Amino acid sequence: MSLPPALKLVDEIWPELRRHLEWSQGFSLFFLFGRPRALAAIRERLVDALRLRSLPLQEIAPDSAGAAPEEVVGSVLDASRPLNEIGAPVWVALDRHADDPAWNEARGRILASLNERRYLVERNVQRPLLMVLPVGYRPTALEIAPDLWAVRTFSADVGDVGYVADATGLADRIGRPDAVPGPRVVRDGDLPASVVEWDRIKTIEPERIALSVGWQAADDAEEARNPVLAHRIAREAVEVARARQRHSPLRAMDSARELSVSLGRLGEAAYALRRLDDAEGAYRESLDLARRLLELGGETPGALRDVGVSLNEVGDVAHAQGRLEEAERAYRESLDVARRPLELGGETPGALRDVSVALERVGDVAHAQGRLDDAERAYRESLQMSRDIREQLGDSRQVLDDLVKALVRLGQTLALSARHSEAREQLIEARGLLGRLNLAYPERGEYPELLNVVKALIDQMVA
Amino acid sequence: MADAQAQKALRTFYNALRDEPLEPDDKYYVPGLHIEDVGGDPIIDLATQIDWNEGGGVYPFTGQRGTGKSTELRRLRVELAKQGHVALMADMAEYMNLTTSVEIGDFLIAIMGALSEKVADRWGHDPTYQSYWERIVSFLGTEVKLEGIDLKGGGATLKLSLQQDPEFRRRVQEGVRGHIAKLVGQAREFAAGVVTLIRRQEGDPNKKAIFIVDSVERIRGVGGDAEAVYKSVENLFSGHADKLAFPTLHVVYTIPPYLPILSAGIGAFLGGAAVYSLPSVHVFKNRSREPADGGLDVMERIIDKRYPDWKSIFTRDGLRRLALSSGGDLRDFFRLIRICLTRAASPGTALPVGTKVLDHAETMVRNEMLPLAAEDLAWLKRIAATKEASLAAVKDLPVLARYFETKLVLNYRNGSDRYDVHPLLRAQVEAHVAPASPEAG
Repeated sequence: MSLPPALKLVDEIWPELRRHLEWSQGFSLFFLFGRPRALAAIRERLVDALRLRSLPLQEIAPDSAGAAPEEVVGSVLDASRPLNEIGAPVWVALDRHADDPAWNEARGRILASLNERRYLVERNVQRPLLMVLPVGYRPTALEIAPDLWAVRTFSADVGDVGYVADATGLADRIGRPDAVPGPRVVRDGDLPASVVEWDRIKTIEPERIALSVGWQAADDAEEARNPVLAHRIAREAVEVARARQRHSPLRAMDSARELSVSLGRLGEAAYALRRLDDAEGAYRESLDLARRLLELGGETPGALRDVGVSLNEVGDVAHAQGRLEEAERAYRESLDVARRPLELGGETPGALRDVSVALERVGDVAHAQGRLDDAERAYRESLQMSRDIREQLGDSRQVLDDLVKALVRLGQTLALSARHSEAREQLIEARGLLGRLNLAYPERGEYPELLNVVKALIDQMVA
Repeated sequence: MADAQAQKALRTFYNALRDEPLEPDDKYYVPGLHIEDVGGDPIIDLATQIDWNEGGGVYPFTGQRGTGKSTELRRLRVELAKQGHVALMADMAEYMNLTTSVEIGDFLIAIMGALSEKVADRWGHDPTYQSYWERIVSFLGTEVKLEGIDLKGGGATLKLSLQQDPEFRRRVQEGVRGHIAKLVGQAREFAAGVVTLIRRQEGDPNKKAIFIVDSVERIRGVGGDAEAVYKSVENLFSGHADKLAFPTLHVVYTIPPYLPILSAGIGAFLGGAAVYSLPSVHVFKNRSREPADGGLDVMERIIDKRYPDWKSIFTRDGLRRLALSSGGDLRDFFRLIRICLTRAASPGTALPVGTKVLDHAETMVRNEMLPLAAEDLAWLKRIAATKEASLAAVKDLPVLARYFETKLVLNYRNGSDRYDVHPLLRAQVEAHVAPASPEAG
């Protein structure tokens, strides 16, 4: 047997897929094969990109295998109204339950039926149609639906997620580390499912616990504005990770990474509670482990990223405590580490963003020290990387958030240097992007607030 | 490359490569795509044959997906019109379920139903003319008396059910099996009536009528049913060939590309007609892998028509490389170019595109065909070596059909048919070493 082609990262696929989606006119057919998590990442980017163009994504996601063929085929053939006119893509989610025979039967029937009615599909669906299928399903799809396959516009086997969405709000990310957030308000309501699950499993034998549940629970608690709960869970996850490390010497590398990640979460939770010494302790231990793993395992993009992230975190605490030289040392080392994957593997959006983030931090320290030329240099490079990412990924909320952030930073620095005309140019661009974001995401309160800030900055320069 | 003008150019080029059947007067149409080095144009040959024949005839027409069959059948229609004939055309995907076994009974119902609709589309309702759907509903209701089948919905329901309901179709097949002679007689009578109507409408008692039946080649089996479906297609065109001919009406049937291999004399069954075949464009010299300038020029002309400024994006060598990598298959050629265009829009990509972009496009298309099973590799290796389809046993037909459908194997014709593996798979196929047999061990 010849080797199957390697699965591709979302980062590699998205830029090309986006162009096919944006460029194609009328009917165009896409086949995406992958695991649900990776496909969800593609979907998220698509939704984001469409939202900024004021387009919806029509989703056909059947719940039961038995009813799926009729539901999907009927919905696809009925896709002519009314979204054809605006070109909203159709996402047919058939990727779940990859090993379930009933779902495999349903997938086969759907593809056979659509294949049979290709002329109707081509006639009725005058917009992109994305058939989303499980990893490894391509040979089956090809066999069952050769007529559809013959007219495909694009197909891809999606491997891993890549450029990870940042859940932090733009307002938080524009704020520099010296502005440590205050403890957030605890919100009433039900606990997130991940927290319930973590509380259920955390006391069983450590080897049996999936630590990812704890990390997710800590993230969810943070997202639910409950930093005390997030800190408690992160601390418990560290304890479990230490126990696993003791009990599983044969998995030394794996358990060391798990502990490193858990410590990183603990540091974040402590930082959110303004317990900066605790945060630094956790971050430093996490950094030590990440460095050791880098030495043992070599310069893989993942190992380099772990070290870079830990260095940024250590730098953030130092910055917040006013130890600017120490912060700068950490950020500069992080920048060096972040540049390595670019040298090794090319300019993927994820690698570019890591460098961009490190540059921002280097710029922030320089800005805080009054070295405005150095700050400007770092911000300009960071801005260029944000633009490069935008070229590769197209417009999405996060891409535009990052761009706004870079423009505002540079604009503020130029304003302080009394270069008002250049500063205005950056801020006006930021204002335009914020206007688009505000229209596309009216539910996010941060955009009107930031828009007002940017407008005020522009007005000040006019005055 | 980042500037807006260049992005717009790439996008315009991309959309000029839309894959749809073309009329001969379309601005993108390129004549002479399938002319053989030895001289024949299959469409002109077929039109000439029809022009010469009197009293009706059957003409099998074949070609792989993506070779331009639907476009060339449109040209056939125009050529026939130029000769003073009337040609109607139907896509059988609208009338038949193409993944279940076909029998002569339901096939006749479907093609006569299609003919009936095309006549009504062209000349409107004629009071002297009863549609085939009305006739067949009456026939099925009074003479066949199908068990458990409700025909109250009339012709429209019958058409829909035959196309969409495999169980309904199976019952019709079972029901009409004992009435084939009568069904054939009715079909012939209807076809003759259509020709009479056409002659009256056109005011010419000698008018020749041609019915082009497209998409029959797409009938194929899936999974466990595959062998039975392929067998049914073979049986239809060889066992019942005589029933597919209608006095006074000339009928062009598209047939699957594997059929002439399976039944070498298929044309003889169908009234002695030759099988007209639309191969991939000859980008390689006959029975070799040497680039053929004639075919490559044709591929270049296609792109010239679609986007005259292509040289700002590809070098001539680059475009020719993609033409060779497509093996002369137009859909793959367009797909390779489109991948290059989207990649060319990435930051830092220089124009004309370089080797890296061409490599990327080839890898994308190649990967869509991988992995290949060891048995497939072994067979493909035989095809590559002999340039023959090498079908050892009829039971292997579904596998060969899959090779054609997925374009692992491409068909060429220059005087005679030849086959070769897709150029992007040559390395994988040639590298394959058959496992040692147990006896050898």
